Amino acid sequence: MHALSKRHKLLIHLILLIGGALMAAPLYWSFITSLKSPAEAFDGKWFLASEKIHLQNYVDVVKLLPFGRFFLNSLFIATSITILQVLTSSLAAYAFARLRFPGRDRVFFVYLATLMVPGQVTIIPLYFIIKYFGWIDQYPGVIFPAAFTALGTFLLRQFFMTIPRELEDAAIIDGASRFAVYWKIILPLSLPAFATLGIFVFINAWNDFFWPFIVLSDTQKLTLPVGLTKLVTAHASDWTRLMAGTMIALIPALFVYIVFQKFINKGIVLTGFK
Amino acid sequence: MPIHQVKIALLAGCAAYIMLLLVVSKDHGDEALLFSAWGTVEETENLMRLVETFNVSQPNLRVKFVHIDNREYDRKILIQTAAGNPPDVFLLSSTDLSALAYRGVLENLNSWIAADTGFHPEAFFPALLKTTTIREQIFGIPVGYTPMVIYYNRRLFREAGISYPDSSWTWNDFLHTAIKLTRRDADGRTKQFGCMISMAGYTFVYSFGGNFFNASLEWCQINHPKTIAALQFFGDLAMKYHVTTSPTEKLFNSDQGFRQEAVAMIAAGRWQVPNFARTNLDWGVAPMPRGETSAVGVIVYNVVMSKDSKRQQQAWEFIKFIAGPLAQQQSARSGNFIPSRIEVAQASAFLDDTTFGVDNRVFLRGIEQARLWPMEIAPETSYSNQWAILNEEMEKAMLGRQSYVDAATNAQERINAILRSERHQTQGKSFWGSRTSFSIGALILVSLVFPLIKRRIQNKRMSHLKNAKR
Amino acid sequence: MPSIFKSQHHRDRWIAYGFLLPNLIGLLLFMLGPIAASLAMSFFRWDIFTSPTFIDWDNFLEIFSKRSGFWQYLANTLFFSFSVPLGLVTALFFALLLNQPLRGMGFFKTIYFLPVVSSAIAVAIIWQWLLNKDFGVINALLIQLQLSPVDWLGSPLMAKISIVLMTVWKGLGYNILIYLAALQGIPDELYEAAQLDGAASWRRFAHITLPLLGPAHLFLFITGFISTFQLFGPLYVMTQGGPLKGTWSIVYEIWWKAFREFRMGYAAALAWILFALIFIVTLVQWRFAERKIYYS
Repeated sequence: MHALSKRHKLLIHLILLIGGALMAAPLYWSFITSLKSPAEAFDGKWFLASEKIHLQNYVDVVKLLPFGRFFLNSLFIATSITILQVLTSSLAAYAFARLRFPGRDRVFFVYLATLMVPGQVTIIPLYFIIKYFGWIDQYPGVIFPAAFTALGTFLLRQFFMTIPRELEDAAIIDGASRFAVYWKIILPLSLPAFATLGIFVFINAWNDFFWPFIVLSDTQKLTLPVGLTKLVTAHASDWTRLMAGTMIALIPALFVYIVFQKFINKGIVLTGFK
Repeated sequence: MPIHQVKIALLAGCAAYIMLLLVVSKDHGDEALLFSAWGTVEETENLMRLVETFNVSQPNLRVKFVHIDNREYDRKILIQTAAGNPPDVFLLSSTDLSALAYRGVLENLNSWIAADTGFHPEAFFPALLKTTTIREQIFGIPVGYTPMVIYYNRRLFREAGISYPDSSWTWNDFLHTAIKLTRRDADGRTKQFGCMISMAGYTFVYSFGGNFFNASLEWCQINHPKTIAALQFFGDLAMKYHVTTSPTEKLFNSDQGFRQEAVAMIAAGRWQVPNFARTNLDWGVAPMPRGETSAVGVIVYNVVMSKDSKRQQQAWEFIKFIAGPLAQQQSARSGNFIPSRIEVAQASAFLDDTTFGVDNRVFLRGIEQARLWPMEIAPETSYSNQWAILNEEMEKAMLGRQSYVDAATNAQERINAILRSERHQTQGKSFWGSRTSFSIGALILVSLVFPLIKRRIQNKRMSHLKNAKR
Repeated sequence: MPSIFKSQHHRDRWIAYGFLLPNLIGLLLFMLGPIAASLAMSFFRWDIFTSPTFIDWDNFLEIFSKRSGFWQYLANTLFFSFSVPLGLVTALFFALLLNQPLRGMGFFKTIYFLPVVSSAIAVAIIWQWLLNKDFGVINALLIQLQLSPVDWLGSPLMAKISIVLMTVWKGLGYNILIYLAALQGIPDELYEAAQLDGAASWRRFAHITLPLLGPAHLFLFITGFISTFQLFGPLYVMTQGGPLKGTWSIVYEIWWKAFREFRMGYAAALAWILFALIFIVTLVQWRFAERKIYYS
C-alpha cells in the first residue's frame, strides 16, 4: 500500500465521518431524547440548551423499576453464560480440532446444524425441560440453555486448527498428557480468541430478550431488556423515559466493548479468517 | 504472578462461580400465594398496598404479588398453567375470561360461593357478574370496571373555539370536532390528530346498532349493513378524513399522544384519570358519542382462581378480600377503575370524590348502556384471535385493497371457519398405517441398505483396480 | 509399533470423550433434545392444554397449501435476506477505508460497532420513531434537504425496505470487523509483488484482495443469511408483521402460531421447514465456495 495523497486522506476521512454520523445518529437521538422533558419529546430538536436538560427521566425510570437490580441480574447472567460457554466449548473444540474419535466429523456436523435451527423450534420443549429441573423463574433456567450453543465450539475449533501442530507434538513427545497440552500450550495462545468469543457471547447474552422474558417473572430477577419492556406497557409510558431506560440498558454493553476492544481486534485477526 | 497460579485461581474462581449460581438461584421455596396482575407501576401500586394490608391482617398466609406485562398477559398465564406453575389468583378482564375458562385454566367458583355464607354475589352489579358467568358457572369475581369514555384536551378545544362535548353528542358531532382539531404543517405532515379511538376496540359498532354475532350468539355475523356502516365510519376517520392515525402509524399509543398534545381526543377507560391528573394538561372527560343507541364498551376486571392452584382455600380468602368492600373503597380512591360493588359505587364517598378533578358520575352513566366485548360467544377462538382476523381484514379495507363489505364478509367467514373446526375437531389419526409411519420405515430401510450398497460398489471398484493393476 | 498405536488410539478416544462431555451433555439436553421433541411435535396437533393428537402430515400439507400464507411469508423472508449482500458490499467498502493507516481509525471503528452492541429491542424502538412519517426525524431531515417525506412503514414494500435498511445498519460494524481482520491477514508481499509487476490498484483489488477474502465472504454470507432468516425483534416491535402482512416473515408466523393461536404442532412443522430452507441454502453456498477458496 503506497502512501496516499493528502486529498485522498481527506476524502476518506470525510466519507468515514458521514458514515459514522449515520451509524451513531439513532443512538445519539435516543440519548438526546432521554434528556428532554416529556412535553418536548416530539419537538424534533437535535440539541438541547443546558438549562433544559431533564435528568428527571433517569430518576423516574430508576424509581419506577429497580434498574440497578436489572443491571446486576444482567451482569450475573451474562457473565455466567460467558464463563460456562467459553470453558465447555473450548474443551469440546479442542477435541474436535485435535483428538480423534469415531464419528468425530459427523458429530461436528450435527453441532453445526444446530446453529441453523431457529430459536422458535426449541422454546416450548425447552420450557418443559426447565420446568422439570425446577428452574422456571430462576437464574439457572436462563443461564444453562444459553450457555450450550454450538457457536463457541465452532469458532474455537476453527481457531485451534490454525495453531501449529508442532507445538503440541513436541510436548506430547516430551510426555505431556493431552490435558496438560491443552492447559499449558493451547490456552495461553488462545486468550485473544477466548476474549473474542467471550465478548460476543457476553453481548448476546446481555441483549437477549426472548428467552429471559419467557422464563423470568419475578421483578427482582429480570434482566435489562426484559425490564425495559416493562416500561413499554400498553398505557402510560413516555418516550423520554423509555429512551432513558434504553440508555441505561445500552451503556454497559458499550463499556465492555470499548474496554475489551483490543482483544477483539487481535483475536479476530488470529482466528484465521484469512 | 506466575501463569500457573493465575490459571489455577481462574479455575477455582469459575468452579466457585458455578456453585454460587446453583445455590443463589434456588428460591427459598416459599409457600406464598401468588397473585398476578398487569399494569404500570402506578397502576399496580394500589394492588400492592392491598396485598400488604392482607398480609398484615393474616399472619398465617402470605401473598406475593407478581407483575406480568400487559401485552403478554393472557398468554403468559396460559404458558404458566401448561407448565404447572400458574399464579394462584390473578386479575383477568372479562374479555379474556371465556377463552381461559374454556381451556380449563380457571376454577369454577360456584361451590366456593355456595359454601361461603359471608359472600353475597348480589352485592355486585348484575351486569358485571354476568360477564364472568359462562353457562351458569361463575369463573371470576368482578373487582371493578370501566366504560370507555372520551378524554379531550380542553385547551385545544378552547383555542379552536369548540364547546365542550356533553352526553348528547353524536358521531357526526365527533367527526366534525375531530376535523377542526386536526392540524397539518406546511409539508403536509400531521402534527396534531383530532382523535384516536382504537382503545375502544370495535365496541363503537354497538352504538351504530350493529353487532358481531347472531341472535343465538353461536356464530359470527359481521356482514350486516349497520355493522358495515360502523366499520366504514371507523376506517374513514383515518383514510378519508385523516383525523386519526392510519393503521401503519404506530408511533404512540393514544395516551402517549394525548399527553404530548399530539391528539385532541382519545377513547380510554378510567385508568387514565390518575395518569392525566399527574400532568399539567387541561383535560376533561365526556361519554362516548352516541349513534343509533348510546351503547358503550365496558371493560370488567375480575379476580379469578387458577384451577391448578394448590392453595385454593387461601386463594378464596384472598379473592374475598380483594373483592370485598374495604378493598374496593381503597381501590376507588386510587382511581383506576369504578368499584364493582353497588354500595361502594353509589356511595357519596365515591361519587363526590373530586380528587382527580373529574365527575365520577360520567363513568357510572355508562353502565346502563354497557355492552361488553362479546366474549362468551366464541371461547374456542380466544378473543384476541377473532379481533386479529377482523383487524387484518379492516386493514386491507383501509388501505384500499378491498371494500368494507368484503372485509366484513371475509372476517365473518374466517372466524366461523375457526369456530367450525374447533367445535368439530377431527379425531386424531392412527400412527400405524399413516404416511409418517411409512416415511419413517422408508428412512430406516434406506439407512440400512445404503451402506451395504456403498460397500458393494466400493468392493467392485477395488476389485476393478486390482484387475487393472494386474 | 502396531500395539502402541492401538492403545494410543484407544486412550485418545476416552480423553476425547472427557473433553467433549460437558459441552455435549449441555447441547443434548438444551438443544438436541428439544429439537427432536419439536420434530415429533410437528406431526401432532397440540395446544399445550389438551393432550397431543397425532395428525400425520396435516400440518405440513396445510403449510404448503394456498390458504396458509406460507408463500407470502417466504417471499418476505427472502426479501429480508437482501440485507446480506447489501450489508456485505457496504461493509467491505468501509473496511477498505478503515484499513488505511490514518489517524482516528480506532475511534471510527468504535462508532461503527455501536449498533452491533445495542439491544435489538432498543434499536427497534428507536427506529420506529425515526421512521414515523409525521414525527420522525428521518422525514424531518428529508424536508430540510428539500426532498419529500416518505411513509417509511406505510406500505408493505416500504416497510420491507425499511427493515432491510435497519438490518444493514445494525450489522454493519460486525461485518466490517470481520473484513478488517481478514484484510489484515493478507500478506503485504502479494501487493508489493503485484505492484512490481505493474498492476493497477483496482486490478490488485479484484485479483488479490477479493479472492483472498473468500473465507470471510463465506462466513459472513452464511451467518448473515441465517440471522436474517431468523429476524424477529424489529417485526415484533415496529411493524407487527404488517402492513397487510408485508413484513410477516416465517419466524414471525412461527411465533404467532405457537404463542397466539397455540398451535404448537403447526409451529413446529413450520420451524422445521425453515430449518430445511436454511440448511439447503447454507449447503449450496458452502459447496459453491469450497471450490473457490484458498485456506492459506
